[in-house]
Amino acid sequence: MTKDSGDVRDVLTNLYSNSTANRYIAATVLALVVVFSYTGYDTLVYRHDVIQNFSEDNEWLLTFETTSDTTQQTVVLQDEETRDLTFDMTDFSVPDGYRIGYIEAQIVGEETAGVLSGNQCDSIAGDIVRNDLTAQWDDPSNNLSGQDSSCVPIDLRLSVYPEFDGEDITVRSINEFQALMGWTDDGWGKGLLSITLELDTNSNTPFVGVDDDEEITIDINVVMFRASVEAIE
Amino acid sequence: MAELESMTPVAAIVCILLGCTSLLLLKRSPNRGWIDHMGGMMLSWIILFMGVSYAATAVREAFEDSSVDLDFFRYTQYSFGLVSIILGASFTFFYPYPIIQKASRIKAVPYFVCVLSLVLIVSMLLMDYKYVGATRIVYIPGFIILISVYFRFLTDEIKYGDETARRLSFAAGLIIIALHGAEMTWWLAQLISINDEFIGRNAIQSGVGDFSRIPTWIGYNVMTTIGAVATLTLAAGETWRAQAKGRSGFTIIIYLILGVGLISGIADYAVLDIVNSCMNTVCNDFPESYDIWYTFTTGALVLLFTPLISMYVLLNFDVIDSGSKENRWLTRIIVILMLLIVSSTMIELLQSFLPVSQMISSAILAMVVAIFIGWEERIMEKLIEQSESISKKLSSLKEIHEPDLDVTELEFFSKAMGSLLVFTVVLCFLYSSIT
Repeated sequence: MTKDSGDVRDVLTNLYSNSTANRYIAATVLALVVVFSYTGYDTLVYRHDVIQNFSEDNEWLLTFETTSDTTQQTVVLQDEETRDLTFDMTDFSVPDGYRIGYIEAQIVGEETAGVLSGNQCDSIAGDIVRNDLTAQWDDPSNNLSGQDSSCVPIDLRLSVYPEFDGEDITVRSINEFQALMGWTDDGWGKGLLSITLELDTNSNTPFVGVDDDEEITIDINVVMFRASVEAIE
Repeated sequence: MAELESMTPVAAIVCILLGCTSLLLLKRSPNRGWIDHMGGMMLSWIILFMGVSYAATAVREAFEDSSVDLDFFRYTQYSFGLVSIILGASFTFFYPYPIIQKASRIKAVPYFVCVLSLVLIVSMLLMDYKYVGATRIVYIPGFIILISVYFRFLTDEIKYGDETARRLSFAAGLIIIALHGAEMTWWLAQLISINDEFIGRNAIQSGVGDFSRIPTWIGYNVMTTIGAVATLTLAAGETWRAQAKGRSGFTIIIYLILGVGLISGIADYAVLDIVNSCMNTVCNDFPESYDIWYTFTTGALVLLFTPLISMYVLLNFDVIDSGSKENRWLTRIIVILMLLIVSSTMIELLQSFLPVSQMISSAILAMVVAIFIGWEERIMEKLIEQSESISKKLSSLKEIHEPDLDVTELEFFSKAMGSLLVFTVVLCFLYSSIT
């Protein structure tokens, strides 16, 4: 029996007046509930937990394991001579998973090294020459030039990997991979390291003779690192 | 291969054009039944609000890489999207089978829609749309009503031989596709429960804190569940009908969606490694073919074919008086215009990834134009001849109450929606200026 009173109860009675259709409707509603239940569990419970673990508030401690490779070269410079020395970075052995962090150079003169020549300290200057070597040439921690006339070694430094100083750092990211992402770039430290040496001897020492040359030793220390990460609870 | 262009600007033009024209045609169709009048107005406003939302989306897409302040367009996009969701959910209570038939309740609908829309717009605005997905829960009652109408009248047709009952089951089925079309193409992914992995990817890409809100996820899961169940139940219903009565155009559409969903589900499963790359490593991009597939299936269905389905409902169910001389020319223009816009967009999209020269695509477009002009008379006549209001069917069943309402009272709905549109634009503008 149908009613057209317009009352919601009557309208629904009319709509659900067909028992065969009602069975299909009930099956559809049941299907809705079943599908929503298991997909809801996956979405609202499982996936939500997964996402929370990857939430952007995750803090990670980045630590750096370092190693280094060195090379040494000794040259003899005449008074007022300038000499360019180059070191091919491929000659340094970089272990798997490591990247070059920075390069240190120490320039040591003959007198500095403790050789008893009896002479006054010579004036030595050393520069790391800016070239195509892929490095942080404008990093404030660089020390690209040095000069000494008091028998003290000259220490030069060139930062190679961006923002690497060897200290542990804390980063925020959604997962371990992304926390490490900035520390796995290849391509830094490629090219030739060029160092210019300049000598100005002080040979005005009585009873010793004329000192018009100097043996200079250059130690190159390439510091490499491998980053690892652990979550901060 | 050229990059696929966004369909959103086209969708905005199509929706705004169709929405405005439909409202104009409704105004010129005074002798409609109250169901058609109310249903027509609601559908027209849904399309119009969607159009405004798409227009704002299109502006955001166009200027996303620039430094232009796009807050106003963001608020507009979400606010009108919200209003169209609320209207879409309310629409199912009036069309094709009106659950609300009392005059007092019909008169209250504009107030209800406006108040609920404003409450949601303001609260979502203040919460920066963190819970906007949750609003989709409002579709649940509407879906149950629509599927009930579908099965009630499908059974009447097949079991009791009521041939005229098809109009209602057909209308209900079309509206289900119009409201849930996108999610219907994800039915397999939802059944095998992999949509959550896509939700997880979106969460990470959008910034976990903002996205991973349980209410939002409930909303998305409700929609995808409704889509999956809708596809399967409509496919079952249409299979039953095809066996008893032979296949129809609607049967083919449902099977098409079923097929698209099947392929999409397999494609979704195949790209799960890429989906999960966001969680394990970094978010890798989907393959180009995968993007193209979704642009031509789900994207085209939502952005281009949903307005066409709405237009078909308006014409085929005689919601607007397309037969009258006054309306006939405007109806013809809008039908041809929309079909041409949609076909030319699809051709342009095809050209963007297929090695087809511009000359060939122009020739194809010319062919399409010629076909539409040649068949225009036939298309229109078929639509108008076949068109029959569903209120006649419901009246013959004595299941419709004739409330004591005049046209002015019904048209108050349009005035309320117009005011809501202006108010929302002003609100979005002010809020974007303040923040």
